[in-house]
Amino acid sequence: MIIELGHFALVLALAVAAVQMVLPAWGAHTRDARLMQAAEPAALTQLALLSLAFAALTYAYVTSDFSVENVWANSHSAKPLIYKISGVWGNHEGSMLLWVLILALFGAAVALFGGNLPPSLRANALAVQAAIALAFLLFIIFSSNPFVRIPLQPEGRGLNPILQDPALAFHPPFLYAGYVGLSMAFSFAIAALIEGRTDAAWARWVRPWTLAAWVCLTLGIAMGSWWAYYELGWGGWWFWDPVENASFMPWLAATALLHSALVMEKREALKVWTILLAILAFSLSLMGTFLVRSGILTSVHAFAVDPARGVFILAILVVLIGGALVLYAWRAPQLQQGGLFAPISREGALVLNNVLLTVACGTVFVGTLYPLALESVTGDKISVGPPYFNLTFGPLMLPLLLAMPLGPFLAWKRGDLLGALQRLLAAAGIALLALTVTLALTWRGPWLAPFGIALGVWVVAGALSEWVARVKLFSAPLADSFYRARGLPRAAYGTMLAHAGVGVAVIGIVATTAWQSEAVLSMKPGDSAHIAGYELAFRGVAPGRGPNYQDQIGLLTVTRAGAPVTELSPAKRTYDAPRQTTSEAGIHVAWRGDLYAVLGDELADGAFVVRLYFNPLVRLIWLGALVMALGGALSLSDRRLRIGAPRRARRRALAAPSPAE
Amino acid sequence: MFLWIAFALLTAAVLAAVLAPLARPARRDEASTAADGGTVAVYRDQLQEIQADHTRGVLSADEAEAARLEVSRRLLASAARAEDAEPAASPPALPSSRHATIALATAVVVPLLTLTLYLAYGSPGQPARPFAARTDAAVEQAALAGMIAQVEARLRENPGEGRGWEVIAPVYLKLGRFRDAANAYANAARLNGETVVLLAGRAEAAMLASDGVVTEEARVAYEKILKLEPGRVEARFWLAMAREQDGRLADALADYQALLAEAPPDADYRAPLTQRIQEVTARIAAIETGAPAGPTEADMAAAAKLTPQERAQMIAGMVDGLAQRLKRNGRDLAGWLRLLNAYAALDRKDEARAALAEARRNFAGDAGALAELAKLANSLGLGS
Repeated sequence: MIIELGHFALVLALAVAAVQMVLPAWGAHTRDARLMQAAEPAALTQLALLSLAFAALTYAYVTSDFSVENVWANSHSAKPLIYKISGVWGNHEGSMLLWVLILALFGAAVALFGGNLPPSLRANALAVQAAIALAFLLFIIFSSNPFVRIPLQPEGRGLNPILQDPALAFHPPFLYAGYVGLSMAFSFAIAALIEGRTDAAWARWVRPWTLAAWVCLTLGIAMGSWWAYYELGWGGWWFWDPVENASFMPWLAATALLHSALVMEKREALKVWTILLAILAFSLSLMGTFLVRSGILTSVHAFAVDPARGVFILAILVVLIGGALVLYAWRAPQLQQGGLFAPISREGALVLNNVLLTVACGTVFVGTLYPLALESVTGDKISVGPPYFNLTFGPLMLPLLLAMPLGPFLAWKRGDLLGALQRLLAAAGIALLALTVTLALTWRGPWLAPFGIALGVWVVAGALSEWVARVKLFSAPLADSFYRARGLPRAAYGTMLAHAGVGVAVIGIVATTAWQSEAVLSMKPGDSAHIAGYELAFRGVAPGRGPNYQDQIGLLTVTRAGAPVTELSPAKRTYDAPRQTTSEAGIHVAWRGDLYAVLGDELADGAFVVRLYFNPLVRLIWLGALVMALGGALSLSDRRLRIGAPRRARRRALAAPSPAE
Repeated sequence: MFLWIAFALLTAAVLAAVLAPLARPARRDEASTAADGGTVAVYRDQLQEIQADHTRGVLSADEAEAARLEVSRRLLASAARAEDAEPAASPPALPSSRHATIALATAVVVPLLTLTLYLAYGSPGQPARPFAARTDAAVEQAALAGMIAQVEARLRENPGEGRGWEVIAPVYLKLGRFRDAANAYANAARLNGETVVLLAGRAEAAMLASDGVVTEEARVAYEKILKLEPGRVEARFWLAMAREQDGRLADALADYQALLAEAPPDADYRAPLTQRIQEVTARIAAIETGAPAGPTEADMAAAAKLTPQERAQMIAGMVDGLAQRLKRNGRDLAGWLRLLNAYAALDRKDEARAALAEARRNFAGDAGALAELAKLANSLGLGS
């Protein structure tokens, strides 16, 4: 009964989405306030209905109801409870349901907290949002229905063991919140095009939604990378895999959008460009969904491969993106252009940021899609790997990172480059010092790496010097600086943290890439190995038993210069259902880097293949992403406090646009 | 019945919520004041920010003044625009009768659409079947499932209980869980001693799990059976098949012929034996006449008659046979090239890469062979 009620709620949500698409848009067109106001309850109702559907599916998973095909195909009664719950979105159908649920959450947030938007803008934006929901609900009900029933099955097939990991509980919801959050910017862009009017208020409205989406996307990507790092057992953190790229491209576009919306808000410039970016950012996240879900790519994300689904999503893509771009081509020329600015100015710096980010996004796009296009046209299979991306993406990041600390020091309209450089002298000095020290420490090479480290340090120090300059840390009395630091808007802290986070991540990336050590050995119990100053003694392999798997645990005692450090226990884990083996890496975390061990197959002579890695400073990559996300969150918290006048009280309630529950 | 009442209530509540704004007069306050209130608020906010920046010393007096001027200009422009738009913003709204019509149409369309779609995809008659409620009360339907679950649970606790493995193995086999069946038979044999029944079960399950290939696991099991019960026809037949799949055609033919000669005239396995003998003879003849040692015409004709599943099995059998042969004798370049092509065609990429690596090892130092391998690898997209 609960399951069928959930199914009914899902279908009813589709009907409500249709109503929400038609009535408010019609109302906005005829300037009828009542019709426009129908958008709000419709958006809230949609959220309620989809929550009901999602709860029903979760219930079916928790109670292991194998009369539901989706549960039978992806769950097992002996699975631990947390994986029964997170398994709801650990499959194609359930993850699409989560997708529309988050979409509805964002729509409902606009309905609740969009009080001081112009009514027609809000009505149109919610109508566009409903159109997206309608498309995806049709997709779910027709070709990926999670509520399809089958004759009772004795036992479920179980969840892909790679997904039986706590990270499954967080990585997809955050990533989806990021993808779907960009739909808000998209809906606002379309609504602005329909109205033929955009202004600073528009930009200010789009920014918090984009920022929220960006924070979630940053966290989602970082978590995915971390998950791949410790679960797949390859010792790497990023592989330029098409699935990763599919999430990275919207991130790049969203980052560009955040910065261009800033120009639009402050100076009413770059309007047409900002609208285009808003459309592109969401288009890229739709494309990511398509790539990952259509089965074009084979990976852990491409659960069940079904060509019909691919065609369906492709159709959604063509209608939504194509429609948006046609509307853009038609209406964008009618938008008013705004303020003028000199090339050397805050605007100029942000334009440079946008150019570099979009070109970088373009190179990733080409590298991801070209092999697919080539294969479908000529049948040739090529793989575009890290060398391509390192050669194209890397050089584009170089000027971006070099210029990044400069931007915040430039004034709007007309900036003083020399003055900005002077104020960054200290940061440059620190970067030079870092360069010298790293060169001295690692004179054996690779010789480019110390420059990379110096670049990261430059970005961090540059971000901090902006704060130092604003609070006059060394030029004014300490108490005065403290007072200034407290008075500084949170958005300023957000910028500082986000920029510094990029620098931290850069340091981690350069160090790990340049100085990773790796060894593949065949070890017998009693053997020992050396890597990066550690000595590892292999003590043998012991069996272990978990709730639904069997372990073969290798024991490695790690010492460093004779002193005991830790014990690593990499394992090969064989699950009961489905019968599959995963490798659980043994990782020792330290400030200087991760010691990473993977247990491989047993060889004929009783030895085991053991792969060892040392990844210097690898944690900084995720720490950097975390700091970036924190910066975004801080900036977001500021915005809500000081955004609008007429409804200040209600603005405060905007505390909850963050969809990441 | 209760379910339908719930559906009706849910639909009614949704319609009431969605259509409520159509029934009551529009909130005038919001429609008018908020129209450009947001815009004005943003500009006012910017003015305050400029003031704050100025006090903090980030902006000089001149710069602050210029910025203030610019924002004020935009503020005025926006106010003017709002005034222009004012008459258009509140035209006489649609008449109430129109709203009633729209509401009525919505109230008809929404339930109709929902019901149509739900009836097409839903299963209102099917009750929920939570797992917990099932295992203690449902002997009727899920007796087998319950039994499996119980035995599995017990075996998880005491994996050393041979009797449990012996009971569950044939059940797995019947359910098509071949890999599980083979493992269960193996455990049973290890714990309870190797009997002909257990060994035969394990071999059969192992073969079914690998699409009909007589794997090493199956071969070993059959050889043990022959030690326990020499002359057992089933074991001899499958061992001959193993030889055939390994490419030892002459040996296989001799075994088949011996089996046929000893078979009683009414034995039901004469027909498959005759068929194997024909096929193997044809393949030997093809090799002797120098024809490419691929599938024979007879094979192709036979393949055409098979179901897709059987055909896939046959192809997999041939490919794996070739792979096994090359493992023993790696100096056959033509064989390696054929194997790589076959793996690529079957989309077994990982094995193709492994085979490529092994072939390269075998031909290390032979530049011509390596070049040929590299060329093929490139055209198959195996990387280099």
